[in-house]
Amino acid sequence: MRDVVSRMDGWSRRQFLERAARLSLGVGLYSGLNDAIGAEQAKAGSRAGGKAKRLIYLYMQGGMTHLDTFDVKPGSENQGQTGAINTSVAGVQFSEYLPSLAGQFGKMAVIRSMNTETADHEQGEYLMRTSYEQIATERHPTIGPWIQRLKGRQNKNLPDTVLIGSGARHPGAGFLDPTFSPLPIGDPNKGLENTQSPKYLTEESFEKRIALINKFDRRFREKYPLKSVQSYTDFYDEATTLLTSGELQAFDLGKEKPEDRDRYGRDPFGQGCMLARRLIENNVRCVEVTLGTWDMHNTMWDYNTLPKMAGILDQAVGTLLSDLSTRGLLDDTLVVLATEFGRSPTINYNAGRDHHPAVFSSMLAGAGIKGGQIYGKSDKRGHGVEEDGVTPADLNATVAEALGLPRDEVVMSPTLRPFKVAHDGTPIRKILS
Amino acid sequence: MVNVGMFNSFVVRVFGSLLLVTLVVWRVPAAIALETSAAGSQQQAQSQVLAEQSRAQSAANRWNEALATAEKALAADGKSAVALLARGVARAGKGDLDAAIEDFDQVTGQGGRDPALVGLRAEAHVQRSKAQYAQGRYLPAIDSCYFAILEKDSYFDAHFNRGLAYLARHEFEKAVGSFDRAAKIDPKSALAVSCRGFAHGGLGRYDYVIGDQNKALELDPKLAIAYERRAAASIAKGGKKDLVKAVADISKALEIDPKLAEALCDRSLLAVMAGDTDRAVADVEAAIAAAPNLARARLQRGLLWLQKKDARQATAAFDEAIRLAPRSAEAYAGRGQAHLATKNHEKAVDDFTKAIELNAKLSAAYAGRAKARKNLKPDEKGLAAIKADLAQAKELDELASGKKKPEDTSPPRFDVESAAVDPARHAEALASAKKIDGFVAANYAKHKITPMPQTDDETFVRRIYLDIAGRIPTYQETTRFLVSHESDKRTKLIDQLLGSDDYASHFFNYWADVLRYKDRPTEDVRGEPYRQWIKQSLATNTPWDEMVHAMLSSEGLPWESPATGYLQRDPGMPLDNVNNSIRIFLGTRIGCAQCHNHPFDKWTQKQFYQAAAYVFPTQTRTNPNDKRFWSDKPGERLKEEYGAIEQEEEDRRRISYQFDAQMRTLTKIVFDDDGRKIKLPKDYAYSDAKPGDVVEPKPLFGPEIKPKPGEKPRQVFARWLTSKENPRFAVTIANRLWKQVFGVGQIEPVDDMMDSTVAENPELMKFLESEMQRLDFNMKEYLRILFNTETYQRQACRDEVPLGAPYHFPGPALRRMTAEQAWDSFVTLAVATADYREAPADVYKDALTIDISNATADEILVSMKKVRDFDQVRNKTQEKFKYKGNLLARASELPSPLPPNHFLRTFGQSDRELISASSTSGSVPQVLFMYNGQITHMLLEKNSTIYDNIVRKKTLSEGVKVVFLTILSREPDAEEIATAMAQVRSDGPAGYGNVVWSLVNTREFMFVQ
Repeated sequence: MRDVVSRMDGWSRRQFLERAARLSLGVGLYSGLNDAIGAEQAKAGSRAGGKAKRLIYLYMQGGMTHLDTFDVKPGSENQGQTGAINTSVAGVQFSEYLPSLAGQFGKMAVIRSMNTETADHEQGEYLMRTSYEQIATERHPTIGPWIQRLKGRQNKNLPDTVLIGSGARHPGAGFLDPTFSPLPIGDPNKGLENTQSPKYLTEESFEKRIALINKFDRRFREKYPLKSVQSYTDFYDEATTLLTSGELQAFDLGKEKPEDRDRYGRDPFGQGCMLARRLIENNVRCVEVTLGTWDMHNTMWDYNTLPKMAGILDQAVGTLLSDLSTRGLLDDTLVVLATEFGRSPTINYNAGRDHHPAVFSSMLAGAGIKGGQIYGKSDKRGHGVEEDGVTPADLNATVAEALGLPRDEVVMSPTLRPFKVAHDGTPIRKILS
Repeated sequence: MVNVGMFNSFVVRVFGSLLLVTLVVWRVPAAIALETSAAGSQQQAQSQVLAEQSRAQSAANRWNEALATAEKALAADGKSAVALLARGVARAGKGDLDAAIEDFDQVTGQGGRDPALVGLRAEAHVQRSKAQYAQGRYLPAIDSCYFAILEKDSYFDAHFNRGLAYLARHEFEKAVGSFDRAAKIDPKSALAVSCRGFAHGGLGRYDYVIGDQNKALELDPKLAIAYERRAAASIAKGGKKDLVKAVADISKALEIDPKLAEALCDRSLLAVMAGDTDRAVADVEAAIAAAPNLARARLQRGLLWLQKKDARQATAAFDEAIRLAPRSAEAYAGRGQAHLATKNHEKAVDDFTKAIELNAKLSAAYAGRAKARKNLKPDEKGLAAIKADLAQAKELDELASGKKKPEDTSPPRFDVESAAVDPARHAEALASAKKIDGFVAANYAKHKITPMPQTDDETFVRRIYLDIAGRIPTYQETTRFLVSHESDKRTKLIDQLLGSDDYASHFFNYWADVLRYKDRPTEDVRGEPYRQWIKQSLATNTPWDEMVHAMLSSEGLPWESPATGYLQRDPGMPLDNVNNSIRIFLGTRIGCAQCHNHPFDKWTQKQFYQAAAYVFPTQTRTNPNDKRFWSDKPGERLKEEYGAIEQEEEDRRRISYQFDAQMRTLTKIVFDDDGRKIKLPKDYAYSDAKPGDVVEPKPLFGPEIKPKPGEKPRQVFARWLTSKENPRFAVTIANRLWKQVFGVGQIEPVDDMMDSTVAENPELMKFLESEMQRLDFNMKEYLRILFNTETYQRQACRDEVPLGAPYHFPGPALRRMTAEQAWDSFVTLAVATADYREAPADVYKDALTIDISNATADEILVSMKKVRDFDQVRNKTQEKFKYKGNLLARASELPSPLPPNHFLRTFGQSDRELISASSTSGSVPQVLFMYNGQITHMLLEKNSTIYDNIVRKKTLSEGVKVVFLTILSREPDAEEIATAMAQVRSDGPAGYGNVVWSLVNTREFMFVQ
């Protein structure tokens, strides 16, 4: 954006920005403006609609080691104690810790040439989730709120974006209105918090209480017939509907058979993936599940570290993909797996690997994705990009493309700066179907 | 406590504290089987065969043969790792430990990742560990096992032997961990389970000891040591039934292994209890004969000789015990006692002191030292020491016997000291308030506005508490105000609240939102000193210009110069920082001009850079090798010293990161690097300058400002920004506080002024600005004026004001409570006086005040530990104030930012990333919180404030009134009383619950009228 603007002469820059500003209250930039900002913009023009209607975003927090997951280098002395196994596609191998995903490689496209320049967790995470660098004066939205902003809200009762197990520093809705904020779920086993009435309260006595509220509150609401009060009343009605409508069951893993829950793994990530599937089935648009921590500086082959973490990942995502597939949900659900950086090929003196942003891996599967593909290549040592480097913005542009989002639509922040979903990244056409 | 009958009190004490199960010297377990490696040449093959033969000979304790065979193997292949390992094992068996270690070192020094070699290296590490253990070098023994684990993680011998070495160092928790890991790797190992239990014994968990021995005996019913350990645990428990069990277990152990020294020691102990000293002596001697290196047997022998009053023999026995177990406090205390008997008082003091060093809880050592000192003709200081020792011994004995519980010291807390408003300026404030009302009234006439009537007392008391104290009033506060007949009770209450600590709490919440306050602005910087500086400045009413000047111009470390926290919030981002400062303090946005001329305002990119030039030289950190701050590169020196500190290698590596982090913490100095000049960016596109041109500082607006001699650019900037001549400084703070009081600013938004901006009431705005200047930025006096206006004390506006239309202040705007007001009100309903306060940042100051030029690495480690300890104390304190995981404290005492699912965040508290990012709009999760959140339900439980208020009342209608006054600060009307009473009559106490629950769920509760 900034490049485009700085290349314009003074007049058209001012004109562009003024027009952009007028549109800042919500309406996107209309196509007529493309002429003014040149060919660059046209090239970035997006297609009418992607195949994916929903998104499950799996975030590997702490920097997932690429060499021990999706980008094994058998025979390399950097490989450490991790072995390689064949996938369902001849000639492609995954780490031995991912047997289930290896068997389902036909569903997924794996990018082995992700790269950034930051080895800092927070900044890397921020960049991956927003496509923008973290700065002190702006907070950029993440993909879920972007979808809602660009396509409107999809679900009447349930929120459009749910975060499972994300930390406090998730950028959430960024500068967008707080109503776009994702709903955070701390523990997938508990589901949506504060929906459990105390045991002594029957349905009847709950209704009694609601009636009491309205009695006691009548005078106040008559006195202040204001929108702010009314909208609050609407939220009460929505909450009451939600509690009584049965839609809450979407959050309740107790409705699943215990043996099915076991298939996902009884850890927070496994249960989070199952909850993601339930929410997707209930027309929640975007669910993010976080698995941490991949920050394996020490004794990473300890049974409690890499083998355990990769095992959790394989079981949960393997089950998720096969479940989505058998239920026909994979036709309109995109699954993305991302992380902030990889881990150093050189094994450090603590038998671990350190931060490594120069090359790492990412995975996409499902709606809009051509499966059974590897895109990009890391070098022999797994140290740098050899072919087809992909930045976080490119990855997010690919996601946006699969979801059919208008990547060239400018949304102004309250500080009147222009932003776009995926920050002018280039979608990877080769893996899009 | 063990009942040891006839023993004298000293011996009783020592036995009482004696960790019966910890003074063992382990017998080295048999070597593990070798992993075979693929042999290359014939010679290598031959060498390998010989090496294996040597190992077989070693396994049969035929050490000389084993050594000879290993030498032959090495003659065939001098570098063979298998052969070197075999020779090392044979040498170790012969007792030539140093030579053995050399062999093992040669194996571990061989590089490469061939799996067979990795296996050999791992074994060599473990073998070296055993040799080091035999030398009594436990720390290197632990490290060797650690290196083995790095080679091969699931390696039973490495974990097991590490456990043994931990035991020898009395690191029981770690020993438990190691044996536990070993037991998981080999679930059939009875020994690992037994040792795990044994390690638990060191921590006094005798039931765990017994449980693990039971498991071990299931795996191997012939494991004599497991019976013995179970017996030892039973003796330590000391009940009659336990002792009966112990007798049986000892018999069983000795039946399997008649020479089991530990069992003989146990039997000796039981003999002592039975008064049979001769039998006791016989058993101890048998134990020593069976296991000459068992320190415990020597210790028991010493105690027996003491009992028999033969101090010389006792001393000899304790000498042996100390040689075998140099960390045994009991052995030192015993020898001290023997010295006492032979009147070697000085030596006795030394031994007791050493014993106390090793175990600060050994009461016998304190008592003994006091006795020894008494005989040394003590001076005044000596007498004091004796007194202290006796007191300590008494307290420890009382604690041990359960007579006394550990003392509960009150945790450290940070309380602000609040300043009251000036009584002498009261009339002046009222006069100014009148003037404001005049300006507002003029606008009513101009815009044909009918003002709202004045509030009643009920509405007023609730609103003024929310607006100044940040919470609803308590039942007592409400009724006290309502019953008062004083005509000036409103203005008195305003003064009282402005002088209360609640004022600082409420306004801290506001500024924390504006300033994006974080407890950890970056990983290595703690925000607490800054946080408490903000609170204290607000409480003592530091003038706003002084506060801002301090934030902009302070230099130094956070705990020495807390206002530097402002600059630490934007580390390494001077352009963003200047942008934020201008927006927060001058209500002006120049951010767009960072990259290009501002599209909607007059600012050019060059002007932005000129403003930024003032703060561009400012740095927020340095490094420990920076010559400008420290001499002789202490960073390098300290890192070297750190490497040489005696500690476990695993800890050294693990803590190394933290050590580096501590060094960063200690060097987070805000200072100005005069050489740094700002340059225009490469893509600078205007004709008034070229890309890369150096830009000199120049104020954005207002009068030119000349630097004083020696004044740094940042100080010039701070002086310019906070000056009364600055056209936007006073108006910005006057308008911000106006908005805090009335809900809408005179100028909206409060931080986006332009030349074309017109206030709702320009004359009034002008007056407010001049008042702020006249008051010298005294915020409490300014707020006092606003709260005393008729305009403020009118009822809240009931008409919808369309978005973007000016608000003419017929009364304050109706507002939803902020997240913090809602939370603090709930907390008030739940616990009345939320007594928790954050820990004082000064404790960190004490820990962190270190001059690294002269500090040692040890001192840095001590400071790290102090900080960790403080954090632990803080966390423990918080536990006491928690209800189902929620810390029931005012919002201003809680961490910042909070997790996204906290009540405060759900209700719109900022995540502290952006300026003024809080929100008061509603949401479904908020309502769910109100319906079902834990804090709502807490109100309905016994011991909540509201519950206590109700139960004090006798009649039902009185109870209902209390409920209304507590929650809504008003009396119920007749209809409400009837509705509520019907509830209580039909549902009993649950009816009260329904009423309370419903009232907090009304809009009336959530909105500030």
